[in-house]
Amino acid sequence: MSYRTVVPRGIVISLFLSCISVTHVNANPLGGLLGGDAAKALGGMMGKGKGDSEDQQGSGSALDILGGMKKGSGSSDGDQGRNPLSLIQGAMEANKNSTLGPMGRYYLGRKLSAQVIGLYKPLSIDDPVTRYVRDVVMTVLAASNYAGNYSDPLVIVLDDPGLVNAFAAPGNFVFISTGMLNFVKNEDELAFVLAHEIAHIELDHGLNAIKSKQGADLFKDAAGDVVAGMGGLFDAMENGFSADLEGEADRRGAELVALAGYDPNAGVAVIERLEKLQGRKHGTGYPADRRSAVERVAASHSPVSSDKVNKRAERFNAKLSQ
Amino acid sequence: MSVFPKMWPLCLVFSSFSAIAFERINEGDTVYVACESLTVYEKPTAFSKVVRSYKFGDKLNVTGLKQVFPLPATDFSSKKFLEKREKEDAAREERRPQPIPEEKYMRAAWLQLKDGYGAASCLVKQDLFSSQTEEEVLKRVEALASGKAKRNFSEDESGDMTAMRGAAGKAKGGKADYETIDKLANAVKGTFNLDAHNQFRQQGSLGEYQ
Repeated sequence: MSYRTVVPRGIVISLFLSCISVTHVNANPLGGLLGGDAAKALGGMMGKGKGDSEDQQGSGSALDILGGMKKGSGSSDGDQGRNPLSLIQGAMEANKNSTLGPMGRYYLGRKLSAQVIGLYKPLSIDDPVTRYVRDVVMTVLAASNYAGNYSDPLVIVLDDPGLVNAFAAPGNFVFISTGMLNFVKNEDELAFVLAHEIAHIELDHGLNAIKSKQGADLFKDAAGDVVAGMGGLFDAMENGFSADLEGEADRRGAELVALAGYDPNAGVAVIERLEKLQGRKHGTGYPADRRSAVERVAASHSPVSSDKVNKRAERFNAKLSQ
Repeated sequence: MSVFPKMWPLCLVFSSFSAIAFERINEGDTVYVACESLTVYEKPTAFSKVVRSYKFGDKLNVTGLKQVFPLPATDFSSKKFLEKREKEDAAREERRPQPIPEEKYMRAAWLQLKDGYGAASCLVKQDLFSSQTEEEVLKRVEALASGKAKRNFSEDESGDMTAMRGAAGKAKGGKADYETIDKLANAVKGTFNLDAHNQFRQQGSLGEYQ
């Protein structure tokens, strides 16, 4: 079957665009809401990191004071979601649960990927197209800071020509649709699409999204009905901040392809076409100007000869025509 | 009653979240292989010659840090995030903000070991390694996915897709198909052919062949 001859139709879920939609919380709004004695108490609790365990900064001291909090909490079980003690416990539990390590990341990715597979039919792992995409993924991964993974990276091609999409999950589960394979014009463009996804993994955006979501949920619990007008803040958490992360993934993705030897300018080309395809400049939660960041990365690396790009384009066409 | 006293514990959530994708590791630390296997390379790059491999649980000593990089601005342990916190702390405590030491927001991509270089993303310290059991990580993953602190793991439900939505949050997961995903993961295990992959890179002028 030739994947190059099928015209994409139907849903065009924006590219990389897909991927990991992020809700990143800026601590400022929360900080701004804190004041007076509450903020002082918090400052004392959080303090600075003690000893070598900077990664768990604040947790230990917060746990130390839990005993004291218990005495004064005086809340009934029925108000569990809103009393300070349960919130602290929830926060501690959330922190523990988001400390996953390589195995935990893999299992988180497996859970998410199982749901994707529940929706789409994958090509065989032995399909030449899957093997080819896997080679591109492995090349980009080798250039990343995340060269080690709990298990072998799993690259899955979703057999849906109407879907123009690629996404990734923690633990190096990378998905791309046949619609996206039809959409990209050469191997360098394909590499950029995949590198954007790999950047999300390397930069830990998926888990950050979950952490932020947890924070937002706990915040909602704390605010309860009292702060009914805080919806805007949650909207910002859900949508507004994700532009930062998508911009970060664009920039890092361009760096990864450049490090691997691909032409980062291919990223500019594919972004331009995707924006046209979507019929609007960019999707919700994406930077207003996606191209500049990629162009800056391209300008900071040695130009890639068109001969090399063309040579790779030939094998791209050959592989996808099989 | 003011809402603020009710909400202050929430700051714990954001302050205690940390960058565990890359644990902070120092020269001289003892680390454990937390991946099924760890490939050791001749140089701190996966584009170099493979020296050997270690298996899950092997204990190693770190003799150096290579390719040290700053955590991304959006990370909870990034320089930007830590500076913001320090500024807020300093304002509350009526003091000058202190500079953030580099080691707090810098991480190493590669760790020098006695016989080569291993990817830091597969090496963790003892505390984190002790949580690397299937039972424990499944419990944590399910708690994360459900958004609740404690919940038993179930493979039948459609969980939270926060970490992998489509554009504008429109893509939704279907019924989780663990059987297929595990089948695919097992099928790919051990099939990576380094020689063939090297040939792919060489033919494409990529990696070490660019």
